[in-house]
Amino acid sequence: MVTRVAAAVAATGLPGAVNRVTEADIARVTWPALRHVVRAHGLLGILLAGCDAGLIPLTDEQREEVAHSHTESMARILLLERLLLDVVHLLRDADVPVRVLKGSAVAHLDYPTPSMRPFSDIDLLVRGDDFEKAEDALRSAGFVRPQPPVRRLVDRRFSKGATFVAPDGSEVDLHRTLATGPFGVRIRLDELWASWDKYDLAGSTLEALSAEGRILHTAYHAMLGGGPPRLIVLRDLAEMLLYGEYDDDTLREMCRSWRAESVFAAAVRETWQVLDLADVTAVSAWAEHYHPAPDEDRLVEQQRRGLGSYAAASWVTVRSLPRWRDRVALATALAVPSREFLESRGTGVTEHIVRGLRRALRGGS
Amino acid sequence: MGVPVSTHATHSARGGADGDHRFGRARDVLWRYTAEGVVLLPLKASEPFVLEGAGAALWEVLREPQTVQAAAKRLSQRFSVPPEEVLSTVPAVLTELADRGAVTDLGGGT
Repeated sequence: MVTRVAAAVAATGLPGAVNRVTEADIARVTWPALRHVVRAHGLLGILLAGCDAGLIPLTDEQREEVAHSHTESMARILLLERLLLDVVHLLRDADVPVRVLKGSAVAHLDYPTPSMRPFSDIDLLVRGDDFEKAEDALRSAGFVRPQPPVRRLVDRRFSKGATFVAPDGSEVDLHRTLATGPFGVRIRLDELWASWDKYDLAGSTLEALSAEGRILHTAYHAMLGGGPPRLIVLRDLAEMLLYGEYDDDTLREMCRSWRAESVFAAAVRETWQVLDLADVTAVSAWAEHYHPAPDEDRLVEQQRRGLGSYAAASWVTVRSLPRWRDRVALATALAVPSREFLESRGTGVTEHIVRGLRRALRGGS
Repeated sequence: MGVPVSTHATHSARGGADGDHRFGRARDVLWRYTAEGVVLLPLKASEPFVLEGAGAALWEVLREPQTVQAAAKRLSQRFSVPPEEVLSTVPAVLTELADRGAVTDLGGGT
C-alpha cells in the first residue's frame, strides 16, 4: 500500500497521472512510513514540488520536515557534483574522454529543475581502451578500487565497469558499457559515443549521452538492475519520453541496432503501469503491442532477477558473445584471473582452478 | 551544513561595498534551489551553505550582474520595505558572499 502511494507521488504532475495522493492515503499508510519510502525511492524533491503545486496535501509540519530533508540532500549532492568535476578534469588531463551518466546528467538535462532529482554516486562512461589510463589517474588521486580487475583484458573488452572509492568515501562508477550480460554485449559502443548532449556545471561544460542514449540507459537501469527499479528511475523514463527532445527515428534505430527492443518495451510498460499513466503516446502504444520472441522475454526476466554471483554473471556474458574468439578470450581470463583479483577474494590460484573445472564440468552454471 | 545566511542576519566586518559596485554570481559555484532557499557550494569552499529568505531572493536577483543599489531596489520592491532599509544591509551581505566565493565583485561603475 505504501509503495502504491509512493508511486502516486512519483507520478505527480505528469500528464495522464491517474492517482493523486490524498490526505486519507497518507493517514492510512502513516506519515513516517511514507516519508521513509519516498526518501528511499529518491522522491523528496517531487513530493515537495507536488505539495507546493497544491497536488499533494501535506500538513505544514510534514512539509517543513520534507523541506529540511531535501535541503540536506541537495547539500550532499553539491559535494558529489564537486567530486564529479574533479574527476572529469582529472580524466581530461589524462587524455581520457568521458561522458557523464545517470544522476547529475539526468537531473540537469531531463528535469524542469535539477532539485527534483537526487543521486548518491557518480557514474562515468569511458572507452575500454582508456580504462587502464583512467584507473591510473584515479589511483594517483587517492582513489581505491575495492574489487581488482579479473584481468586487464576484461576491463578493456568485456566488463560493464568498476567501482572506485574516493578518499572521502564517495563512490565513482567507471563504466565501459551500460549493462551486464547479453544486453551489454549487444550495445554498439561506437554509436553510444557518436553523439552527446552538454550541460554546464560551475563554469565547466560536461558531456552526457544523447537524449536517445539516456533513454535506453534508463531502460536498462530500470529492467536489468536485479529487482524492482527505484521509482525515481521510472520517473526519469517518463520525464524523458513525455518531455524530452529526442528523435523518435534515432531511438528506434538504436533500439534495433542494439537489439534492445525487449528491454525498452518492458521498461516503458513498467513505467506506464507502476506510475499509472493514462495518456497514450506513440512510444507507450508501441511498447504495449510489442511482443518479443520468447527467448528474449526470458533473457529480460533472467537479468531482471539478477545474474547471481560475479562468476555466474561472467559466464552468462561468455555465452552471449557472438564471436568464438571473444568467448575463448574471456573464458581464459576468467579461468586464470590475476593474483590480485584472487587475493581480494581470499582464494588461491589452485583452489580457483579446481572450482573452475568443477563449474566447467557442470556446464558453466 | 554551513551557517544559514540571510540579509537580516549577516554582518560583514568590512561593512560592504558602495551603491555603484556591481556584483554577479561567481561562475565556479554549484547551487540548487530548495524550499528553504538556495544551497550554495563555491568550488573552493569547504562545505555548502544555505541562503534563506531575502538572501535567496538576492541570489535570484543576481541572475544578471547588478549594482548594489539596483539589487537593493529590487529587493525592496519584492519585500515591500523602504529601499534605504535594504541598502543598509545588502552591501555587507554581498561582501560576505564575495568572501565566500559565491559572488564576484565586478567593481564600481556600470
